[in-house]
Amino acid sequence: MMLSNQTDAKVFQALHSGNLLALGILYDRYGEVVYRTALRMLGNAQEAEDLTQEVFLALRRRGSYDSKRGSMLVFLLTLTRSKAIDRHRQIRAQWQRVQKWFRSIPPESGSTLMDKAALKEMSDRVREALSQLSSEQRKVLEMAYYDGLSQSEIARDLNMPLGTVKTYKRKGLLKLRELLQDLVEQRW
Amino acid sequence: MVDFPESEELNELLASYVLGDLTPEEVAKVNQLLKSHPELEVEVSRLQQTLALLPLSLPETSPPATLCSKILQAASKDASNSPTSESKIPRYETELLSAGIRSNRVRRRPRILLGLAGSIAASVLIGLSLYSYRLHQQVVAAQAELSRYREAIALLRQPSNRLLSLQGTETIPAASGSLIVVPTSEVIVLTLQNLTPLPEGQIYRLWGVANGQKIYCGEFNPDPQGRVLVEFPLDADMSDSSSVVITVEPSQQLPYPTGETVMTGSMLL
Repeated sequence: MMLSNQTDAKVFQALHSGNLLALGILYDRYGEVVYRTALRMLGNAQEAEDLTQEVFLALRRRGSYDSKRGSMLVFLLTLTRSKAIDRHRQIRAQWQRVQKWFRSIPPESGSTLMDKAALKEMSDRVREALSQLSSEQRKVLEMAYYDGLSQSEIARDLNMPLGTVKTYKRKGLLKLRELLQDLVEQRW
Repeated sequence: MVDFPESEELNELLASYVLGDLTPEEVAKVNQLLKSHPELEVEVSRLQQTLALLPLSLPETSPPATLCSKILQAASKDASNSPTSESKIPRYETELLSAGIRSNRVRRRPRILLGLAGSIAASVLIGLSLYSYRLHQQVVAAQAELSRYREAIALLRQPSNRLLSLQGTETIPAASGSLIVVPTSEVIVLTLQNLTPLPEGQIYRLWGVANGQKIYCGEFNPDPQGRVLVEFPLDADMSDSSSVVITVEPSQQLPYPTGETVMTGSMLL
């Protein structure tokens, strides 16, 4: 079987044993979505390009991805976000915990092959789910996620009581969790 | 021992935990809960995964086409400096130098040459891995194309096929091709050449003509070389038609042709 038809776990294994072709294949699968996130968080194409490169090099170098511990997609998105926030020099304790999570979460198998069509379908699902949140819930979640703002910074920026921001964020996330249930519970 | 909260309260607590919105005391409480009820870890992980998927909602982008090869180049440069291939000697030597101990010039020379050979090897490696990546991409594309041709040939071998020959009108006189009606598989196969690529927002549509009515069969765009090989389902109404037309239409789907007819075809066999 050709490497490009293999699961993420197998491709990653090949990468770890020094096969750079594997990196090209993973880029082919996830490069766009990493770039998409980087572009939103850094707001400029050159920096987004640099960050995308940094993320894929980190993937090769550190060998820190363990397919038994979550999907490649979630791993790369989390890595992109934490590196983007590092660039903003706004490292916060909670994101260090996100990284810690990759060492502590229970095993899940990454056996499904994620192709472009599957990723597109997932993107549509997430867009659809997000559109069902109230505009306030969406706004506070996006400010926290992309701009790395704390709830008190968001409260200040939006001129909103702190408790309200906290409630919007929490309710928004729980609603997404409910709407995207099958995406996070399926074993990919 | 922490009191176990009600389920709604618990969900909200875990959500805020994942969002990093808890006070240190609340975080301690959740950590204790997770310790006493390890099954809650699964829910925490799923909330974290949900949050991590948020960027999928962003509009799709097109990263620069050169980015992939840039990354591969950087990775292969990186490979020659990676901890696995890094020899202990250069590091030891740096330590010696920083401690103010100069190594023998005569002994250093071969090492420089070795370093040079190493960087030549690294650049050969970059070239080779890019080359093999591109080859690989080509093989994938070629395989996909081959399997499409194989399917088309299998269809052509079936009995009772009907063939229509197509010719461009004065708009694109060089365009030509065939349409094969395969009643046994209930499909039609269209193959064309020398078609002009269309600007964005326009598309080619194929219509069957039966009893003076035009019946929609399918839409397509040529490849950059102006070639088309597509398969459409065979509509029952199409079985009666003895001629077809191809028109240029706006992308949004309309039930009847509105644009210019650029190719026409009639039954041969």
